[in-house]
Amino acid sequence: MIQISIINVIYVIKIKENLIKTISKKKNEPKWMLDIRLKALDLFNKTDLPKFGPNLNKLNFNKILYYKDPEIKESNSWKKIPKKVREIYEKLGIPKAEINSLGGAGAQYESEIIYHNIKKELKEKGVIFENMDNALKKYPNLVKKYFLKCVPYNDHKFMMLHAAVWSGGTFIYVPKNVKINEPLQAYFRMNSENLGQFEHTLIIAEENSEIHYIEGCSAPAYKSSSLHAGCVEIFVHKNAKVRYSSVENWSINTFNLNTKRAIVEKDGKIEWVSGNMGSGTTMLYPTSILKGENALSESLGIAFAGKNQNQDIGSKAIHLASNTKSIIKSKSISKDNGISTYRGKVFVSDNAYNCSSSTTCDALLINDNSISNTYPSIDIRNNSTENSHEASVGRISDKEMFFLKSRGLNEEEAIKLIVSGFINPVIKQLPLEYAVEMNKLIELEMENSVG
Amino acid sequence: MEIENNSKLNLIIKKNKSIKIIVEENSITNIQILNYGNLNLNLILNENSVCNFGHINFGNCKNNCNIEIKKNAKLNCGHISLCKNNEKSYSNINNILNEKSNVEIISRDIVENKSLIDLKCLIKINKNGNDALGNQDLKTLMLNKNCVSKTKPLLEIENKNVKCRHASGTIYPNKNELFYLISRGLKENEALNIIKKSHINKVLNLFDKKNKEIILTKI
Repeated sequence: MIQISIINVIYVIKIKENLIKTISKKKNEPKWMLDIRLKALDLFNKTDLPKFGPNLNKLNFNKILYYKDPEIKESNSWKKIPKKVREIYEKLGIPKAEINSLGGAGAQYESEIIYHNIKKELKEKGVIFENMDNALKKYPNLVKKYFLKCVPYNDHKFMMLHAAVWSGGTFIYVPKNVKINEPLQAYFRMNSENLGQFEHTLIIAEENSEIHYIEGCSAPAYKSSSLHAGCVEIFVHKNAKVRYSSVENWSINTFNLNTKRAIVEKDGKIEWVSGNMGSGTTMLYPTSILKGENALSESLGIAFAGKNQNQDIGSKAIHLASNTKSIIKSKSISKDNGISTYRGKVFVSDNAYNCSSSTTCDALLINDNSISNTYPSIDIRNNSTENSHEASVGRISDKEMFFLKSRGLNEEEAIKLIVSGFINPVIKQLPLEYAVEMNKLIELEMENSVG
Repeated sequence: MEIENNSKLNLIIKKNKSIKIIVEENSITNIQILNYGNLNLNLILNENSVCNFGHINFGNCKNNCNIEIKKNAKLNCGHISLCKNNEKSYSNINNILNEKSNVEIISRDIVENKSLIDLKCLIKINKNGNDALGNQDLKTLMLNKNCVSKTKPLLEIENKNVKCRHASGTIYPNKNELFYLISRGLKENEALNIIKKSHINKVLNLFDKKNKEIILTKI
């Protein structure tokens, strides 16, 4: 087996221990982190691909670039970021949003965070908003207490890979009683061909705190595959509230195999708001573990599956305590030969009394060759639960089309308007800039839908 | 087994049985199956046929039903699983719809006393299933704390010119309903029996009088 190891680019024929040791040494990590990486790698190499979901056979692990250092020193000033890279984020509106409406911003380019900044007043309140690698050095005990405790490294094959090669990402700690009014945001950009991005986001909201965190991502399109296998772990302590919003707009050649999970304690609340537009293949199932009494989870998601896209998304709610509540709303649109799948799970344990759970999935098929699948799994183990699930699949109503065309709209305009109305309940939960972006992206996709 | 027009088929499955039933074109039929064992059923509804299919699982049993509904055919399918006292029932119902076909599935299960009901129900519409209509309505009544209900209402849709929906829920005896019935002089178990009967009533209408009596005594 040949391993080509250059200082900043690691591209291997097969994932081996040397790769992991090189990454860990470069980051100057403690031994316990390296141990986890190696155990995860060992498991990854022994574990088969999942037996459900989209076909992943085209994902060639031997051709993925597992680490690329952008050679840009992390800064808290956009002026210090090289112009060519800075322009990418400027086009996305990140620096402007930071001034106008954010409490802090982070930017990852390739495998490392290149920009991180938080408002002074939040820092003074004890809020930590750091690059994950830096947080490991500055707050080792805090990170060790929570790292991979929400999603264990042996959870599934792509979590094993993530735990072995993770790099970059965001660490957020919100102290007790601190409520952050403005959102914190991170943006992830994969620029190189064949790159794998494995950022780790860890959010800890202490008792009675509040935070809204936004993630966005993008990559240019190439012919060969890229891989995104990040991980988001969220700990919502007693009476805390966390809203996690994301708009995933990876390029069509990307396999997006992300893992997102939250543990919610007594009276806590987690809100997932996601828009999935890009990537050729997505497998993404944000999960809420409702561990404390009265915990609440809300999950709102949109998926758009266009030509050659397979969006396999869903949501899971695991009720482990009494009086917990989960609400799941999912909307999907399939166009051309796109495949959209809702795959969800609701589990209520036998000692979780008086829980309620509601799931609604709606799917819109635009063309003859689009596909929609719905695979919910409902597992209820006591008789005091109120549970409901409903789903519908159909096409754009003839009556609606007739009405709009009779008002002077042409067919394409009418379709765009109807689709916009279909996704509106989820879009309006996104921060304004992202809502506008999603609407624009979907409008662009809807062009030439006629015929 | 081929069924002609206006015929009725009554089957009682005690042990393991594999059956293939073909419903003739343009016919109207009524099929009732009482299953106490393991049933493997292939049901084909030919063009323009209509079938009322009532199916009930008693206690420990498994059933695997593969149903193909051809052009313009219609299936009204009612399913009940009754499990009490540590029993387990596994049902797998797969429906494949063709052009202009129609399936209406109503499932009403009752589970009590450490029992388990596992129901998987699929509606699949292929590319050639233009104007097909599919509807699933699955409800489980859980009577005690220690029973388990697992439901998977599945949809696989490959044609945009269809209307398909499903709804599923788990419920428990409503305290207000129980109070009302008990306040009318009924004992608690009598009140529960009325609630159970009303829960399965919609599906019960697919069975004839004799089978209805059998089902009601089993409740």
